Amino acid sequence: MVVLEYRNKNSRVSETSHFTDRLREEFRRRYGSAVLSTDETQNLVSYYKEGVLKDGKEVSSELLEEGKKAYFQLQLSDAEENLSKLVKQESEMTQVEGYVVLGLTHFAQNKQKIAEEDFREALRLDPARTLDPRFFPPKVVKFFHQVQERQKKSGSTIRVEADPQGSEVWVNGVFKGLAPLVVSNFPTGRHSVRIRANHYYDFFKKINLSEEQAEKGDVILRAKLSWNLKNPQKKENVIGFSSDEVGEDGIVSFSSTLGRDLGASKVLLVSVESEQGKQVIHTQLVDVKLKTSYKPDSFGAENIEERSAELASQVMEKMSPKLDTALEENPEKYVANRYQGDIVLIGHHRKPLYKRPFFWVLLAAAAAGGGVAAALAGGAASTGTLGVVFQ
Amino acid sequence: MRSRFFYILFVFVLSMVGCHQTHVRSASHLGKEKVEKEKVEGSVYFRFDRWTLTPEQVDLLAQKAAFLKANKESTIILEGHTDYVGSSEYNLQLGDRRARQIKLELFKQGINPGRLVVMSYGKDRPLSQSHSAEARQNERRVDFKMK
Repeated sequence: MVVLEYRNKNSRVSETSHFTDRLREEFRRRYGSAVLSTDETQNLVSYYKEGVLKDGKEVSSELLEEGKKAYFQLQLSDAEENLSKLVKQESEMTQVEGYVVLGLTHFAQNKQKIAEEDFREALRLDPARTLDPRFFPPKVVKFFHQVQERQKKSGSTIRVEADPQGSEVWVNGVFKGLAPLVVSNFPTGRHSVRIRANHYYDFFKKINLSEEQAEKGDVILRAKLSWNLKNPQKKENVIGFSSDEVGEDGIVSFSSTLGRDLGASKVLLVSVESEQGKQVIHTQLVDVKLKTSYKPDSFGAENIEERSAELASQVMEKMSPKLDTALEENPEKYVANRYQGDIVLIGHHRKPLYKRPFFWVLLAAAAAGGGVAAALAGGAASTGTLGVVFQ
Repeated sequence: MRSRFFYILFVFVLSMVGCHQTHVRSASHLGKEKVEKEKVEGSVYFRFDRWTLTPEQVDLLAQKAAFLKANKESTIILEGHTDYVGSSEYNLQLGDRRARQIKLELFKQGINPGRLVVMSYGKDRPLSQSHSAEARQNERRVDFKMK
């Protein structure tokens, strides 16, 4: 886990910085070295921030967000319009997701043939893409997997060699591994390959694989990345980031990407702000894997300098249940409203019967009732007062 | 006879209710439990201006990889260091290459690269101020830090 300060126009810089340090140390006291120390966080943030900021801008796509939002609110024609525009742009990082959500939209509109084409295109770009049956209606999941089974499995093999070795290889916006790498079953058609390493300029190439090339065998892609660090001595004075750097909408996307690069599963953002003459601590916990945010919390922070220990414990108490519970197990309770659509989706996320509390209450009541009945019957029988004669 | 029946019924109901525990993750995913850090932490040393691994080092990394597979929650920070020879920028890149090479080897051994964080300090954090050959050899390394 990593604790970062987050600054916006209302933030009180010095209070935010001191309280975040305090909170980080409190978390380390409870959770040990799994929480990065201030020194470690500062070093890693300054090492990774530049690359992440660049990445964050590429990833964010208003069209995808708008399209998803419209789909989840069942405004299907709006969703179709936004997502159709998006996939025409052929933006590498959002294309697969764009085709998947467009397919979902068309399926919801009962346009199964078009939905099949969308899913087929998504699977051509990312043959390993799946739909999580916990979050999507069973009908569409079944349909998606049928399309996947029909999809031609064979394809070409691409060998990616890069300098420096160990650079990340992304194909059509999907992480494939570290170079040198062999990507097999690569379908024909247009693909984008990005090779990236922190502090190096990205290598990007669009390739068009024809049937002929696929039959010939391996396609070899060699990339030499150029070093890109102009000022190695520069150290960030903010152990975190500000809204100026990422914009209000980019907080979760940026935190998730930074958290991923820092090897953290969760990122806690802290800001001490001044609101109508009063100081308030705002916290927001971000789940790196799901790229989503827990519901934010606020705490009154009068006399923060003197009460920092007390306030840090308050924040810890509020955060602990969230840290100890998997977000996806109860999205309605934990996920921030604006991100709920990504998890809950249309249709209900049906829990199996045995996971529902009322099932166990009924079973216990039935068992207890049975016990009472048996006791009465048994008691009556043993005393011989039951007035029924079987003949 | 009746008391035995009630006893069995009581145990049955208890066991059924006991089965329905809300699945709450323990804090172990944040590393609360103590793990044997020494099996992962340590250093790998390199020759002057080199970042390739010897077969012995690959074997050593295989042992670390086996331990990491058994402890799936942990993250490793790989810190690349160099001796003082050369410019800051060159050494930062060299430290980065060394750490990245270790990351690649662990990835080949089946470790999720998301758990391996590459970091380079170049020549900025020497272990000693000595310029002897032995001291310089100690600086040319990648440190493993388990989180």
